[in-house]
Amino acid sequence: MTPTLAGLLKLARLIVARWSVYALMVAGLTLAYCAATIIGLYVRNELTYDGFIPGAETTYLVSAHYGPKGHPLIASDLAPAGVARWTRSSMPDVDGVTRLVSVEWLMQTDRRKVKEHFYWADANLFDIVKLPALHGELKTALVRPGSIVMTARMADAYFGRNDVVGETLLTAHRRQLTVTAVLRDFPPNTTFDREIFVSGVSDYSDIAVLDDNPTRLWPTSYTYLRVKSGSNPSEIAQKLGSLTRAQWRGPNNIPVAVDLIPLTRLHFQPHGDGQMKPRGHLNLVIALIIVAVAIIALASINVSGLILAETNERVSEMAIRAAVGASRYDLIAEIANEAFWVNAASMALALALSERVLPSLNRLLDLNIMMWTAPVSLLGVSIAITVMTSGLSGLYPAILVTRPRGHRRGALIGASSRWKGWVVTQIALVIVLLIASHTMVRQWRYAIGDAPNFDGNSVLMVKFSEFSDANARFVRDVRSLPGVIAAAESFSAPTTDYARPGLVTLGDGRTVALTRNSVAPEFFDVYRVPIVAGRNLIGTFLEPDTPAEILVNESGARALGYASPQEAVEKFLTYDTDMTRMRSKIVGVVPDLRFATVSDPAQPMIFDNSSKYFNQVSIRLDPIQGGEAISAIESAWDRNMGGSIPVDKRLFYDYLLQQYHDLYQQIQVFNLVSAVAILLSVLGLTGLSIFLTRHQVREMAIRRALGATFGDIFVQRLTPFFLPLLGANLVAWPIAWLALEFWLKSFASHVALSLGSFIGAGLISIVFALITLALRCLFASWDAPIRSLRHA
Amino acid sequence: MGTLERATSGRYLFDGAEVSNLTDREIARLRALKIGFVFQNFSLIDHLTVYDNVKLGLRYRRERFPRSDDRILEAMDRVGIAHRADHLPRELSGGQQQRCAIARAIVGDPSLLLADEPTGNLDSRNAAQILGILSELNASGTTLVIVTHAPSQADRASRIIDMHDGRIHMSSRRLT
Repeated sequence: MTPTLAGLLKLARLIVARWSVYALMVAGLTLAYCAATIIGLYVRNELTYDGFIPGAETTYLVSAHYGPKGHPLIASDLAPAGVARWTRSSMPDVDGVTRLVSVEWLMQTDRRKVKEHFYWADANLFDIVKLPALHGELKTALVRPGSIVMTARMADAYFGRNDVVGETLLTAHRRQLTVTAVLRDFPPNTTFDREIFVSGVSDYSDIAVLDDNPTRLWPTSYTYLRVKSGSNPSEIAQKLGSLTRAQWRGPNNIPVAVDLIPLTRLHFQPHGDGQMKPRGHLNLVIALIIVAVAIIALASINVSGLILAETNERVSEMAIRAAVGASRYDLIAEIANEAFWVNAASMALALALSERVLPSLNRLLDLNIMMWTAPVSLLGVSIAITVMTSGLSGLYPAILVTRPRGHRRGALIGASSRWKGWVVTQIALVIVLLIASHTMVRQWRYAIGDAPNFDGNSVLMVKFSEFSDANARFVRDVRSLPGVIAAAESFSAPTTDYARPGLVTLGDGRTVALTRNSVAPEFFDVYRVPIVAGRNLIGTFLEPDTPAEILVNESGARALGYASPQEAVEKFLTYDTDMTRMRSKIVGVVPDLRFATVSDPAQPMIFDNSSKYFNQVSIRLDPIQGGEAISAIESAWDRNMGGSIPVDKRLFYDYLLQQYHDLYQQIQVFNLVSAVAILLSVLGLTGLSIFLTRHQVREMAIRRALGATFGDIFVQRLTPFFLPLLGANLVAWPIAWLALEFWLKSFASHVALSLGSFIGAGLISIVFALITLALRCLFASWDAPIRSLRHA
Repeated sequence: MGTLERATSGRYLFDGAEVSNLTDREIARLRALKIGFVFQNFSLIDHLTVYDNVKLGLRYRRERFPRSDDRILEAMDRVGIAHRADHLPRELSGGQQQRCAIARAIVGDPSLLLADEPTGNLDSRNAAQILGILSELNASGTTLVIVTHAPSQADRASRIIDMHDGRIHMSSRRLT
């Protein structure tokens, strides 16, 4: 080693020796507090959905369940349009009921012209859902036809300011809407996905159309109600269910049940058809709380060990203080005081760091977590945690170090073993988190890769306008564009925007539910789905309602009792829909396709070629000419729609990513938490190593005096960690296995746990731990302090 | 002299070899093979028994000693500590701990034994016994260098180097 390098190393050693312990304490705690703060904010965000709406806990969404009894086919956030009417007329326990219907129409002002997503709303909406107002009188805001209410953010987008009561905007067919009130902006944790409400009293609104046609009972409306005080919501739900069943006008009387879900609990309900926003995952919230507590506890224990190492170095100082009259209580208070300030400084740094990190994290995870929405509670909780962890990390070493000399040594040896145990626990936590992250990534890849069982890559989906002739011309033009391989119309497929059941009563009396899809025959070419048996559909038809020919998927064929796909071909199938009984011939069988997410079981399906409800076209693009083709498609759209309607398009892959956005967020959260846990365990191992170095410095020096080389010392110090690291794997693997089995079972379709995840996580953690220890051992062993022999 | 620290100036020849030219590894080997240490504070490893502490004196020589057990027992016998072989250092008196340290120093049969105030932490009876052991070792051919503040101990040496503030004040040789 050159003299210069040796000098620099010596200087570095001096600096590290002087400050390393405090730096480690503050770094570890800051990291842990920061992670816990962000997790806490995320959890608060999840647990307070719609909490900004006064009385949200007593405002209920009417959720409907359709399907054979005991086997709900569809749990829907949408209720039949008549539910509100029947509730008003026959449910005295209900204080009020109101409806929303989602729709997309062109809206424009001088500043903005888009196909806007908004709700038609009953006039009494704001009596039931008490959204906070900024301008205008909400009680009467939706009473007049053509009135519109929007949030301040939307007002700003359309008018450049938010005080816009009395301003007007134009919508489809040049109808004029007048702003009657402006709402306060919604926080991100709301179940509402639109910020504009248009009066359903207007005769052209979907609500008015439904009210004018009371036989149209398919589920279209988000129905909210408030119950009178003292009433039992469960009993009301039962009564409402009976009422709905009694009023159901469909010829085949599909069974329906009703549930009332408080707005504040809606976010954690299972997936619902037509849900406005992706649901939350209570299991994830619980897992995150456990991880946050574990991170703080482990960081505190690390700090506890470091304080022990630091104060044990000051035994003589303690003796001097005792000699000048300090009681044991005084000494404990002295050490606990130091621990408090270390914790307080770390918490302050963590809050600053969280504020700095949150915007990037929000961007990365597509979240909108805000830090200071409730500053008093945030600071209160932070102070409480600081005090608690100060006690946890300061008192134990204080009591230990101030024990009488005779008892101290054994206690310190015990402390060393316990600390080693905690470090092993940390590494076990890291292993669990790494296995969890990898399994989540595998499940996500499966969900967007193999699970759909069709090829949606390079497929663009374009939603139709309300003008069917223009749509047909557009599709014809698209098929002739360069870069377009194939195009096929469908009713929502392969999305799950609208699900239609078909019920088949088998010979043994059992009812089988199949999901009905209407597609053009080219659909299977666009999505590269082979016909397993029989043939494809031929052409499309508009009338009558009953299709002559249908395809079923393999699950459908099995559910209908056919032993093989071939056996199902040329058979006639009689099935009930919500409107009529149908009889069609099965002409072919396709593989099992998954349109829903992996959370739901793969559905038996029927495919017909009725063009009556086609609402979108899927276009397979040439991957090489894709960009140019999309531009040409947009031009074709503008040409056919007269330039007045914006094109509503999305790649199927983007749609799929959006479907699994929550899973993607979970993966990112676990990746970040894993990174924090790895850093903490590195700090913990470093702290342990410092502690052991300080206790073994004399031993190392003796060994050096007896002829041990640097390498001997290095190996001797590293060897005792091998077994604990293997032990950490033994602890972590079963925990990870149990937790992930539980998590995977929340999906109807999932990957199997992989031994590779376990081995990989174990190896990564061992490599990380050994590198950390090796660096520290290298540093400590390089010049095992011979001087200690002189002064000890 | 113990090669625990590098010389900053001058020369240090050990068995005719220039120590400052040796690598760290070679110096460690030199210590393992040829130098034994006895410290004022005994410097035993707390969690090893007397036997294991003595055995440590052979470990870093990287040689397979035939009958190493016998050598360890012999070293312990020589200093009168064999009967406490299974005890931990904290279970021994100061004199016994220093005997253990001497056994560890001599088990590898070094050519130089360095003793840094070997009786500094002992009462007079134990100090006399330890000095007796060291004298015997010296008589049997081991070069012994003792650092001491006690003139009565210095008087027993064949050569005395009197150091004052880090410098040699006087060197004298006793005629035998």
